[in-house]
Order: sequence, then C-alpha cells, then structure tokens
Amino acid sequence: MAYKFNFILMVIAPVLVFYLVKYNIWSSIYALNDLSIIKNYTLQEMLNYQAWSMVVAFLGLAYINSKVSEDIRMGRISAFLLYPFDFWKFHTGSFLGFQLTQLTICLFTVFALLMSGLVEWASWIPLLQGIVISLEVGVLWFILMFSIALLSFWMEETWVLRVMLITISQFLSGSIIPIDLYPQWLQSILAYTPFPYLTFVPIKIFMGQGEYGFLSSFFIILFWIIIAFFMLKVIWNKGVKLYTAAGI
Amino acid sequence: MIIKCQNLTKRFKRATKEAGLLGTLKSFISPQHTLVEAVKDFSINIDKGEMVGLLGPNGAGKTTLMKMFTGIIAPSDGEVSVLGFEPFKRDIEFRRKISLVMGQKSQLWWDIPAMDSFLLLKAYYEIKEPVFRERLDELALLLDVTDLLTTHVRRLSLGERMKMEMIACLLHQPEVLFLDEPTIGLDVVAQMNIRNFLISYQKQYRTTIILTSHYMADVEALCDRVALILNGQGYFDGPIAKFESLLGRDKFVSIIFSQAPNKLDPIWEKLFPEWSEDSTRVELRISEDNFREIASEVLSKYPVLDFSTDKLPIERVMKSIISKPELVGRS
Repeated sequence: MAYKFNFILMVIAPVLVFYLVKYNIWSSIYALNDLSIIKNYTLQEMLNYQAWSMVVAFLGLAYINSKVSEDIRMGRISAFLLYPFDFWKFHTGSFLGFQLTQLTICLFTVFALLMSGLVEWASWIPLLQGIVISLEVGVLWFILMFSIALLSFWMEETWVLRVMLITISQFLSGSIIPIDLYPQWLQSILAYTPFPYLTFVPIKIFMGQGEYGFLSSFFIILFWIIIAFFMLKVIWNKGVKLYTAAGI
Repeated sequence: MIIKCQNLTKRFKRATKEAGLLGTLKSFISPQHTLVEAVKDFSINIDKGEMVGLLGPNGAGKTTLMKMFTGIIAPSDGEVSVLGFEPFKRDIEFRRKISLVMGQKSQLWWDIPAMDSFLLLKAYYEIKEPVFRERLDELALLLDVTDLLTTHVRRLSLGERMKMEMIACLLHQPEVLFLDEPTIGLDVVAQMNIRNFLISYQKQYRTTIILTSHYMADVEALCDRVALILNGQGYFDGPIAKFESLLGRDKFVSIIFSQAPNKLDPIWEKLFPEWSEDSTRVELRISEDNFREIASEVLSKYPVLDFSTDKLPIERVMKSIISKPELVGRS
C-alpha cells in the first residue's frame, strides 16, 4: 500500500496539482480583468495550452532523480563501481522504465482530457508528433537532472540546484506563461537556448500549430541532447576521479 | 600470486573546522585541510585459495585497503595488482571476477524481493539461465533461505539479509571474495551459519578470501593467515598459529571463586587480570614456565570453584599489540 501511495504522490500528484493551480490562476486572470483575449489566447485556448502543458510535463519533465545524489553522498555508488555494469547504465535503465510508466499515464491523461473537453482534438498526427517530441525532451531533461545530481561529487547538497533549474525552466520554457506572451527581446534570447523546447514547442506541436515544425524541433532538441551529453561525460569523468567512498 | 601489493599508500585531504559560529565563518572564508595517511607503505602477497584475515582497530586502514584492492579508490603511491589487473582501472573483466560484501552496507534493493535483485545481477554478470538457477538453488539451500527469496528485503531479519548478500556476491562465482565485516551485528547463531557456509564454500570452490572483522571468532574459524594493520602500516603477516603465539606460550586461565578474593594480592600483578563485576571471576595470562607454581598458589590460597585453561585468545593478543606495537615491529 505504501508503494502505491508513494507512486501517486511522487509521480502523478505534483503534475496534476500544478495543472489545477494554473487552471484556476488563468481562469481568475481572465475573469477578474474581464478579458476575452490576451494576445492570441482566448481563455479556452489558454486552458487548452495548460492542459497540454500537463501532458508534456508527464512525459518530458517528470523525472527528478534524487537517488543519484544520495548514492554518491552515502557511498552507495561504490557497489556500482564493482559491478560490470556502469552506474549511468543503471540510471538510464531506471529512466527508461520510468518513461514507460509515464507514457501510460500520459495516454490515459490525454484520453481523459479529450473526453472531458478540456483539450481540443486536432488530429492523430499532431498527437503522435507531440508524444515523440515530449519523449525526446524527457531524454534531455534526464541528462540535465543527472548532470546536476553528479555535482554531488563536489557538493553536499544538490537539491537547491535542481529546484533552481526546475523553477527557471517553468518560467522560461512556457510551462506557466506561453513564451509568445513575453517581450520580443526575451523571446529572441530564448530562441538560442533549450528552454522553449522543454515545454512551449511540444505544446504547440500537440495543438497542431504548424509553424513549429516537428522535424526542425526534433533536430534542435537532438542538438541540445548532444551538448548536454558531452557535458555529462566531462562531469562524470572528473567526479569519479575525485570520488572517495565515504561510509563504506 | 592473486594479489600483489607493494608499498601501497593512500592519503586523504580531510577538512577541519573549529567549533562554533566563528569557526564556521573562518571555514567558509578560508577552509582548512589536513593530510591524513590512511595507509602507508603496506605490502602483501596473497596466493590463490588463501583465506587471509586483515586485523586492526577502527581507523587502522583495513577498509581503505579493501577499497584499493577492489578499485573503488586509487592509491596515492605504490602498486597493487589483483588477478593481474590494476584495480582502479576497473576493467570489465576484473569486475566480473571479484566480489565485495560490506557488512555495514547492503547492496540489495530494499523495496523488492531478493530474487529481483538476483535477476538484476544475473543480467549484470551475463550469467546464463540454467547456470544461474543451479547456483541460486545451491546457495539458497546451503544458507537455508529458499523460502525467503520472494520476500521483500526490508522485511527480512539482519541475519537473513546477510545470507542474501552472500548469495548476491557469489552468484557469478568470483575468483576473489572481499568480506568487510560480514558478520557485524549478527547474533551468535547467524554468525556461526555464515562462517560454516564460507568454510564449506571455500573448500568446494577454492575462492581466495580476504576478510576484515572485529569478531576474532570469524578470523579464527576462517583464516589460515592474518595480516595486522595499525595506523595504516603493516605490523604482522603470517600464519594464525604464529600470531596466537606472538606473546610467548602463555596460557589463558579462567578462575571462578566462591568468594571474591583479595584483588590487591601481589600474586595478580604480573598476570594481566580481568575481573568480573562482582570480582568472583577472573581471567589471567600465565606464562607456561610459571604455570604450575602460580596455579598451586591460587588453588591453595583461595576458594576456587572452577579453574580452566586455554591458549591465549586472539583478542588478548590483539589488545596487547595495539597498546604496544613494538612487540611485533613492522612487517
């Protein structure tokens, strides 16, 4: 029973609660200011956007691996240094298993959203493209989270950095406010960072808004994955050199 | 030679901080470190099939040595080779041939049954299914845990968990097995079970075993040879019988009195007495040359209920050497 509750609280609840909060915030903003449209977003379109944001969050941004930091700090990484199976392979396997679960949750969520009318149905193609892009974002997010966790080789606590990245991402990725509502100068800067591709671009693909091309987005995210991967390798190699198994 | 180790040294940089708020601020602005030599110029050679006990008090460097033998940390100086590999390079082939059991740290996943962990290890070590089943059945039977394989590890007792750890580390039949305090925290029966299991396993498979333990019974039961390490340096390396006789051929005598004797009697002075709380029981160390004379005097002077003799327990040898390392000198 404990494991079932843990699963619901850790995996499903944060994303669901965050969606409900955003739903209420945006509904209130439109109602209190008697607005029918903010830039290009009617209330329905904004709520549509936030619903897809939840779907992207399930697939792309749900993986927060605090276990890596704990394994390093507590010296449990020593066991992985002994196995003929690398530490990063284990956590990658763990991530892939997690994503399989998330895909199931995501599909169920999309079905529930479509049935309830909280999102508008475009067609199968944007849905499948959105899922593929979100899964790709998941890989990028995993690498970023893993890199931060590896800083435990040098730092006592990395959760602060993790929270900082999550918070900054939520604002700059379009998770809370669509990026096209930001000033043009900020949008121009963000275009050269991976942030828009974490949430905003996948949402637009789900919504079938064709100006955010599936193929170009796929390759841009792939580019950021390659950059992040090389950064991860450098951190891992330096970290393992430094590692002294404390507490063995 | 399975393990070759020459002048092995490991230095650590250890942060220090003065107590209190001022100390915290000082440490934040200008952190201080001391250099600690956990292992210094340690040498040892171990042949295939040997069972070697690494003895030493807490902080002696035993676990640091184990870490260097298994590749978890790299030495600062000196050379070490295990099965022809440099451990710190962590060659995949090297990792397939060794195993480390840490008594103070579980390697099994707590939230799943041990069987799931074993299946994961089967994949890690690429053990074929029929071989895996045969080994698992054999080990589970030897350790009497066949019925517990599908129980969540967190629900097992400490003794049962340690048995599962043993299975986990032996599934891939390592050539060298490192045991870091494998019986720590276990009750007497569980300790005996683990020891008996290791003895019969080693007899069958001729695995080279290196063991550290605070329980002398482990070392006496399992090891042919002991290496003593104090303050990171080797002080003795030889057969266990030679270690036991290190302080001469003294006898270990245990006496129970019907009434507490006079503890200030000069007879006890040179016999290293250890009294019980109510002083009706004493353990003495008597040299073989004086044994008859002292035994007669005690028996005639005091009301003795029981009198037994044995060779000097290894704990007493250890205690004496730790307090006076010059008794053995460097190895």
